[in-house]
Amino acid sequence: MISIIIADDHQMFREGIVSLLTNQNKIDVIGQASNGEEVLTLFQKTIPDVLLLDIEMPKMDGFDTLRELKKLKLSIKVLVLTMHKSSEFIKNILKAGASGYLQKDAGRETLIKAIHEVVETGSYYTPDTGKLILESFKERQPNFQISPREKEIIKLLTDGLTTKNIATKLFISPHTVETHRQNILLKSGLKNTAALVKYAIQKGLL
Amino acid sequence: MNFDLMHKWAFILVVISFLSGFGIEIFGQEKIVDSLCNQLSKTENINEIAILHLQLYKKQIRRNKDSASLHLQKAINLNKKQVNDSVKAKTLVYRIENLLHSDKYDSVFFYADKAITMKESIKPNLMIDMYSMLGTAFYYKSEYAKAIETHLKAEKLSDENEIEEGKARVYNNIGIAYIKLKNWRKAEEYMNKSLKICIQFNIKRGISYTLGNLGIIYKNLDKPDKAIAAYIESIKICKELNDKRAVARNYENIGALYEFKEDLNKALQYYLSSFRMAESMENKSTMASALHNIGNIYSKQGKFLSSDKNFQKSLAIAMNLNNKDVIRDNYMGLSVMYEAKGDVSRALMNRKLYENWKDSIVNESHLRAVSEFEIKYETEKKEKDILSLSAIKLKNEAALEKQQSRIKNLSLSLLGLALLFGLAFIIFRQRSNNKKQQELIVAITDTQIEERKRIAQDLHDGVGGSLALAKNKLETLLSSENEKSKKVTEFLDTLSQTSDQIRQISHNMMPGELVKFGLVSAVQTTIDQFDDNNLKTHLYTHGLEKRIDQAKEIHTFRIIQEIIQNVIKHARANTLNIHLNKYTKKLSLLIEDDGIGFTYNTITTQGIGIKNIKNRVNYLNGKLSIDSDMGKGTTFNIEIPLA
Repeated sequence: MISIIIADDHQMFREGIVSLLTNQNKIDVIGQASNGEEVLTLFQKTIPDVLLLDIEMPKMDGFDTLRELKKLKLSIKVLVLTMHKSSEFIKNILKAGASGYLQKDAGRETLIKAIHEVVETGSYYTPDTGKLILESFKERQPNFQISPREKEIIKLLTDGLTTKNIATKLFISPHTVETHRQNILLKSGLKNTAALVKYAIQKGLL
Repeated sequence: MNFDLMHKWAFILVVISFLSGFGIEIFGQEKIVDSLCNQLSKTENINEIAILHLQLYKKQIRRNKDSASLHLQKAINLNKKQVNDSVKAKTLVYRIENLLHSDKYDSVFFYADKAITMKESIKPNLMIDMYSMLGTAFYYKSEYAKAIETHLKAEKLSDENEIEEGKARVYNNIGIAYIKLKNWRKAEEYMNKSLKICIQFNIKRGISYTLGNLGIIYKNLDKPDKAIAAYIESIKICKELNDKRAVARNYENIGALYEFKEDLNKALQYYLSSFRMAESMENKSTMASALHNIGNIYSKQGKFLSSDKNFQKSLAIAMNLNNKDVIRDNYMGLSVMYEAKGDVSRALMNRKLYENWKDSIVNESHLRAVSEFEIKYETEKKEKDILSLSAIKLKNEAALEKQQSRIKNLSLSLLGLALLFGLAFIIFRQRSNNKKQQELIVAITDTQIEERKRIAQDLHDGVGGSLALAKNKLETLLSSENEKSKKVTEFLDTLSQTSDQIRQISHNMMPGELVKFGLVSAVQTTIDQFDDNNLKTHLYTHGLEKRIDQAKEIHTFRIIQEIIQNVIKHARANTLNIHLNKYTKKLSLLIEDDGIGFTYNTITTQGIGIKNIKNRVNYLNGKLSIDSDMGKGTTFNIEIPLA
């Protein structure tokens, strides 16, 4: 029997989930909470196998709850159930330590499958979320990112063109060229154009 | 991350061995040292003693560095007394050599200058050595142009004195400097010259080193076949010299080249050879690297089981050696392998391990490059400190000013200048009224922001959640009553659409990403949402890992939203690049599209959009400029002060 606590600030939604999960002989909803604080109070009495956790809640939201649970080092599986579906949210949810992520309209079958999988394997990812996290790792490249325009400007600078010449050539104002130059220096951590030119040649940025 | 980048190239430039010739094998070293010591005890002549010490230094430099340095020091001490010029010259050049071996390049430069001023009394072969060492010192200081210039002086001197053999070393050194400068053609030219002389005088070790370097050059000249040929030649000679380590390295290099050529079978064969050779001499680190490469190849061939086995073996050895680079690369290899296999959660697990090791390595290499980083970091910290201090100071000053003005007013009134007092009082009240008004405006804005946040969240989670539940319940109906299924499906579609609309409205009012994670996440989500093949949008950002002031975040986000909408509606652009960079005291926003652009007249007709942007920039005390020409795209350049 898998014991479950549901945390969501909308009572109607909680009741709905309970009704979806009844008649499941292996799942037992043992408690409900409307925010993170209530979750922690419930945990003092009994700790379930799985916590179904909403993100947007008053007082103590899903992220804060995940953080607290991490501190307590409980071996509980947290399945985040949220309306949010942007990759930014999913990345941050999993980074905060959730065992899995599910959209609120994922459907009954998926929800039940996810609960079982989280208990059995320790985590639940759809292939899509798995890929998302892999991607989010890849995004965190240590090297700074240069836009095509910035590359163009580095090239013209190494060719020895002045700000004014570059501006005329690219149909933008000298002020914009200057902003680009400042941005490149900021991102590369270099002090001046001379250092940048040297760096660009050495790194083969051109 | 690119798979090829992960590959560990075993290419190693050979420099230092060229310093004292090509590592000439000398037999009976002990005897020679003994007899030199013997002679030393017999002679009284200062010049002879110095020369003997210098010879002892030279004999021991490769075997017992401390003892060698001691003899050199004795010779240097004798130089302070009366010794002849030739001894002086020899001592000086050996001293330079010793300094170079101890990586004291600035001292090398100092004594090299001295040597050049007295070059008349230095024998040509010593002078050639001196220039070679000076050039190498420049090389290690990354001053490659100077290195080449100095080595060329050594070449000229060799030419003038017809010392052909020594030129092998000179050419090799020049070639290496050109490798560093990535001037592959020149590097190839000099390396070939060096090879020719090595062959002519049968300098075996020189041939093998030169061929190894040529391998690197050919690889970079995009001639993998020639590179492979060079390595194979090098292997032959290394085998003659019984240099197993070099053989294993060469095998690995060849494997890497075949992998580059995507001839996986051949690559595998050479990696296996490298592994066997390393195993035979129990060279653990080369074994680990070979096993890793083998794992990579199997992974590329889709032989996941074998790949896993080899990665694990490599990992075990690397763990034992605590070789963090290899541990890290193995986790990456495993992650890529599992990703290819479709086992996302294992891929993810290994990727996480990779990140952990990477972070620890990054930390260590940070420590290594400590000076530069520390300075940067300290400056930043100082700046932060100064900022917070100046904020406190400003507050204090304001408080002080208030107090002072009160005291002043009081004293003035005491002096009976009632009129002036009254005036001052009025001004003071006016000021505080203005301030109150300002505070009220801020309070209203804040309230509005909070209200929007709440409504957006209620819509998103409250209404959205109910709709989601309704969908879930309807779906269970779908399977049980077939004849009504069509209607139910229609219902479901409507619900989905409504759900999406609510999500969109909520996002427009106040994106959850903006509230929870800040500007970058919100902009990225906005870009992700209009996933449109006709307009490629990219966000380039720097320095915004930490959140900035909430009101500034929201207004800046609105500005970006407005500009994106303008571009979609009017610009007919193919690409849109957003540059969002945080400086210490300002935020720079630069948005460029390659659309049709507009002239100044049409800006007014573009209307509300641009006006809104201007208003918001003004509210934030920022600066806005717009570059645009018909057909040349549009650039919004905005600067927002943060302090």
